[in-house]
Amino acid sequence: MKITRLLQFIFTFTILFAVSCSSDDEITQEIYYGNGFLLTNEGNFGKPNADVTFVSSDLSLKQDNIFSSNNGGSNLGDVLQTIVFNGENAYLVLNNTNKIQIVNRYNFKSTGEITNQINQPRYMAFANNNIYVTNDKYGGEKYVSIYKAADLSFVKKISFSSTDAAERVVAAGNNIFVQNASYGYGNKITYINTSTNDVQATINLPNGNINKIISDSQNVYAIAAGTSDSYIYQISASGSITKTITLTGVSKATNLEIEKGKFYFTSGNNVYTMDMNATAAPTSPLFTVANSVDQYSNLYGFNVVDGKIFTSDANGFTQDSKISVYNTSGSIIKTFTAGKATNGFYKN
Amino acid sequence: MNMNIKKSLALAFSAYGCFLFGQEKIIDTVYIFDSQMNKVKRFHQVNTISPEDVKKNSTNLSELLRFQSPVYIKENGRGAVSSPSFRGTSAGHTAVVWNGININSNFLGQADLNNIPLFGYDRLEVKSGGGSVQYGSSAIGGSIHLNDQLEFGKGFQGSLYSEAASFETYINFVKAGFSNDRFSFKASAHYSISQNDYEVKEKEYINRNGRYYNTTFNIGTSYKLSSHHIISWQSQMFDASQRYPIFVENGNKTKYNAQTLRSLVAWDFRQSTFTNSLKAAYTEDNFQYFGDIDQPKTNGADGKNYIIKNDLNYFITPKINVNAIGEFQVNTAEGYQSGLGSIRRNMGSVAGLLRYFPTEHLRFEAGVKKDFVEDITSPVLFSFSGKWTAVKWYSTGMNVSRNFRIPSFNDLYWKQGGNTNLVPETSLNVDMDHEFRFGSLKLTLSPYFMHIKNYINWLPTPYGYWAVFNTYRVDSYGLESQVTYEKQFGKHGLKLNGGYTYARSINKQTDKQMVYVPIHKAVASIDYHYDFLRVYVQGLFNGLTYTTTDEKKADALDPYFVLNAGFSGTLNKKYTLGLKVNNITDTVYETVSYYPMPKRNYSIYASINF
Repeated sequence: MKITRLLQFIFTFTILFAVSCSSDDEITQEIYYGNGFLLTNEGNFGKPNADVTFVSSDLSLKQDNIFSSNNGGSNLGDVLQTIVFNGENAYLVLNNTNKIQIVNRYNFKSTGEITNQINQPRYMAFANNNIYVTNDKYGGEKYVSIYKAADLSFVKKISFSSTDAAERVVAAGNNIFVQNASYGYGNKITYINTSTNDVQATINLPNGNINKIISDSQNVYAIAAGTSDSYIYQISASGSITKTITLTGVSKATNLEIEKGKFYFTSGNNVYTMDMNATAAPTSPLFTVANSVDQYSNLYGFNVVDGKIFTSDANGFTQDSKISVYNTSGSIIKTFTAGKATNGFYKN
Repeated sequence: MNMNIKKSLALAFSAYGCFLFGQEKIIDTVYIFDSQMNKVKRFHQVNTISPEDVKKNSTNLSELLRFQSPVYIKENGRGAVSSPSFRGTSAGHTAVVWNGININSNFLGQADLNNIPLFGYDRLEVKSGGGSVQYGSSAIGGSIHLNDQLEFGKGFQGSLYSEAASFETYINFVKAGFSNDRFSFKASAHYSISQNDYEVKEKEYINRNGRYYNTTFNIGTSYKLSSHHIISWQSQMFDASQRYPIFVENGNKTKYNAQTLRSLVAWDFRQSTFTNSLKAAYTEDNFQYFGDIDQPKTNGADGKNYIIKNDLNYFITPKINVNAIGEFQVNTAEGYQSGLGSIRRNMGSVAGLLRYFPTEHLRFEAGVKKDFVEDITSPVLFSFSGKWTAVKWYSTGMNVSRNFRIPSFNDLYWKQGGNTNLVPETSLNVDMDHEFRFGSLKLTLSPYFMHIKNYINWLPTPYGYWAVFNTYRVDSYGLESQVTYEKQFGKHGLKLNGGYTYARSINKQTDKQMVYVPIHKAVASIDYHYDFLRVYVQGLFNGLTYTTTDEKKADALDPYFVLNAGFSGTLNKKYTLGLKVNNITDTVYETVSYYPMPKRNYSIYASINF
């Protein structure tokens, strides 16, 4: 009969293509992730395709999708914002999944999660046996949710006004500092006392809009951009501005990093470095990255870790990111691809 | 593929000698709003999906076209946002046309198939290839035509259709009509609702927050004032709510509500050598997006269009026919929280077509069109078609056309990111049809090539938002093919239908295949009836489909094969009871990455004709 012949034809066809289209081979075996770097691949907004790439410390071995491959193929989630480490655990902040995924940092097996009072989480920090998570919903609530590190139980919530963003959060001297600025708007930092979990003070930076805050040796550093100049502020653990460096002629400086007594930051496609004790801005960049398919993809991720400068080109967000690793003198030592929209590099 | 295909093909095949006669005959028994469609069918391959075939894939327009046409449907899970594409293009290169009026959203420049009513049309037609001269913006890859017709002299007719399916899906459709020799009236109502919470364990996926429901009312009437004059009116009202699926319980639940209204009045004048159709239409296209289902709407817009159109057709000699089409539209829009503000745009076009029928076996058509869109420079569009029946069993046709897509309101005015400096996308289309007929077996091979330039794309900017630009060029080429076979013997009836599409679509900047263009897609169906029993099987094969611009196989949609079947019995030609099993093989498949479609599911339906 014709029917069977037609079906035969269809099935043959299917098998033919199924065989010819098996996916590329990837290294998926379980390995020890404790001696290398973790790369956060943010993924595409609205898709659960965020994951983590592992690269060995000598950059010779790379493994993509280490969450998925060590957790039975489960998706990690939607928009991986950052990784924070505490003890044996790594905490993966998943913005659009409203979740903090906890994994063992050495084998990446899931060990728990936080979802209670999490709504569009951004960043996270540990201080005084507590976990502090910034949550910032577009057009909605902005707050820090606090949990006990020991049992992940919810402690309380500190809300900000709807005009203040709740962006980066860092710990310095057992105090918590929240960057109330995002997307190039805002000059405020909130200082939270971790013994009372109340707002101790707010710090308004005199010039520039804050692009990033980090902490280093009991201090908080903020990089802020004015109209033509940019600024690096040093803020003490008790919340006072102790030093201001004007980066004269450097516009829209961002991506502040500190490594071995040096600041690193970027402006446009340029990467700069300067001694932390220097008072004047560097006159020329350490290196300049190549233009991506669009300007937003340039330097989508930038970190200086363990004597290496990691940069990512998000490649228009329509394919895998291109990673370039430089040494501290600005020469490329390795390039490779990671996942979608790689936004950060961490030492593990 | 459908019931009426043979009928419409027979029409398309009829030699020019019947041209005039055929048209006169049609007006006597049936009124069709789209005054160009019958002419288009003389030069192009158009597949008609009958109301009976619609019932095989009654979930939504996405499912119907996925299984019964060469169109690729990119659906974010069953019932959610769904975009159609022909021949390796995108939803922006697909025109959805309701009774001859282009109904792509002015905001998006495309149509969400799951927000387009499925039931109530008399013929749902699918045409591959360029058609901007007749059907306007976006008719680049192809067009989907939702056509109503009003019949005369049929008396009272009515039907009731009711379906209950997996995932708490309920579909109800009621239709009634009355006509005598001068007057025709029909009305229908449709309601679909689904909790749509299907699970795909292999992917750890539950279609959470996937609920949808929608209601449609159609009403149409036609009255013959005299033997030369006929006035007609068709309206459609649609109200829908669609939630967007989330991947985890704690995800952000969003939803989209849409209301559309379309109303069309036509006055047709017909003589043996001269016909004129004057139409006035009012359409409304409103939507509200809720970024949080428990909060007030995040953004939205109300759009209103006032359209007037005249189509004049004149036979200078029995072999030469001129056709002039003029159209004027006022588009208005009122945005909410989208930066669109208040928009008012005037848009007009004039088109001329010349048809020449030198012999019984040869025909030509040349068309030219110029659009005048406020603030946008549009190119002169043209089309040229020829069709030749070489021998009884072989005929061939060729079409060359320039088509366009104008930037949508969002492309132009969305804040942030809209760009008023955009120019329309333009395409050059070349395609051929080769038709072979051996008895009841028909094979059509249609190779095509198109070049699209000034592709409109939203790209990330350093300012933290996405903005729209005219970007690269795309070359699309491939082959559409179709085979049909139909046989009646005694109480037995058999109908076979198969279609296969090969589509390459190359971004000229990267030399890579465009995303969401399966290189291979095939559909097939077998429909068999014996006396009052009917059984059908339909299959879909979708080949490897890249989802990333680097053609990464690990991110691509794996090839899949989906099989559906149905069985029904009809008593007294009136009462039908049927069962459908969709995705019999329990295939895990996706049409958009990370959004699996339902595995095996069932439905039971009953219908009454009276």
